[in-house]
Amino acid sequence: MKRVSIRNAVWTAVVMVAAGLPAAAQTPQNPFPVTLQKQLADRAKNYTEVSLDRKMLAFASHFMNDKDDAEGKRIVDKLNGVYVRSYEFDAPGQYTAADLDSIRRQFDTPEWTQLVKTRSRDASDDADIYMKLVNNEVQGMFILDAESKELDFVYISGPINPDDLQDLSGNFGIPAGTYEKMKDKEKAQKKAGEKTPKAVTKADKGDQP
Amino acid sequence: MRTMTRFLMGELLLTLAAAIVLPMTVRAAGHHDFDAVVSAVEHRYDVRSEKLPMMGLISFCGWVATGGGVKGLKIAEFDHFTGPTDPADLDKLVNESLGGEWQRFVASRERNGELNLIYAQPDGHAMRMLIVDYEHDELDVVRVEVNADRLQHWIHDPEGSAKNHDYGTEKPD
Repeated sequence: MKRVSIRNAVWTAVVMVAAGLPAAAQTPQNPFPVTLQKQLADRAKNYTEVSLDRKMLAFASHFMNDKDDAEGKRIVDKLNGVYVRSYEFDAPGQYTAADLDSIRRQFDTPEWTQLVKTRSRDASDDADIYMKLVNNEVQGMFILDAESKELDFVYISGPINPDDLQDLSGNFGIPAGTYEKMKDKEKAQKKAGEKTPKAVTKADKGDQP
Repeated sequence: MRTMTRFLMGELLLTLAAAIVLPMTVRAAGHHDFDAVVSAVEHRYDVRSEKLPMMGLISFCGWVATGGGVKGLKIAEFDHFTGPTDPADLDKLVNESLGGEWQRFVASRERNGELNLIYAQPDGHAMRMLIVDYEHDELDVVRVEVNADRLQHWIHDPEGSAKNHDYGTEKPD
């Protein structure tokens, strides 16, 4: 058992480095309130927190193959950080709307534009996608995916195209399928006849807490 | 003449002592992060760590086998570890022991109490990593230094790395 445990620990580290998972706990770029993180972690059945700043990403990119991972490497080399928080709960109701609002508030600034905002009646399938636009260039992306028993936050800092998420999903702690989910939410929002990102105004943001 | 011989012997002994003690001190300083964490855990939770035999040899073999990609492997085991009741408590303890240059980049906890904390200290193309793994009443602390260039070279061309024996000027800890 002892040897297995050590092997697990070493392998966890090696696999994470090799897979490009390796990041920074409380950097100024980390948008997640510390108190809330702890509260959610306490309530969660399982949780994973990954924080990769620029240095860590640069190190991780060394392990990306120039041929097979060329696209991923190109994306990662430009990023400033990737911060992911995933919580799984035993039962619904382990987080509140106020919890989510405290996260959303971090992105309630003129630089950030809300791309997707979906709300379910029982708050069991809500999603938000925000983009940071600086001189008409995307300089960051934030995804909030709230399900009844699962909560995922993905914050990517730096120049990124929304489609780049396809290459990043499943790496760096970003849950696999995040890109597909994002696309589904976008489609659902368009279907529902909601506003497109460019039409989102400051007044729209006003209805956020 | 006897005085001169005594003086020379004294000088020789001093030189020898310095030659032995200095590298040990430097080596110890190089691993003070690991030792600080182990010591802090021992004091906080009133437990003793077990040393793995021949760890230096294992580390050396790892350094050779990976073409200098991995070095400075250190492992401390705590059997029958009853804590931590609060993962945040252990995280805080490790953070404080490591100091500001280290950053935690992964924290995960499973329902069964399994806990993984991984810290890193980037240093150019090298990265020192410290892993704290807790499961089944056992806590392991692992420290390793990874050289990205060499490890990447070894991953992509293990045979070539072994043939060239290009370990640079670095030596294993």
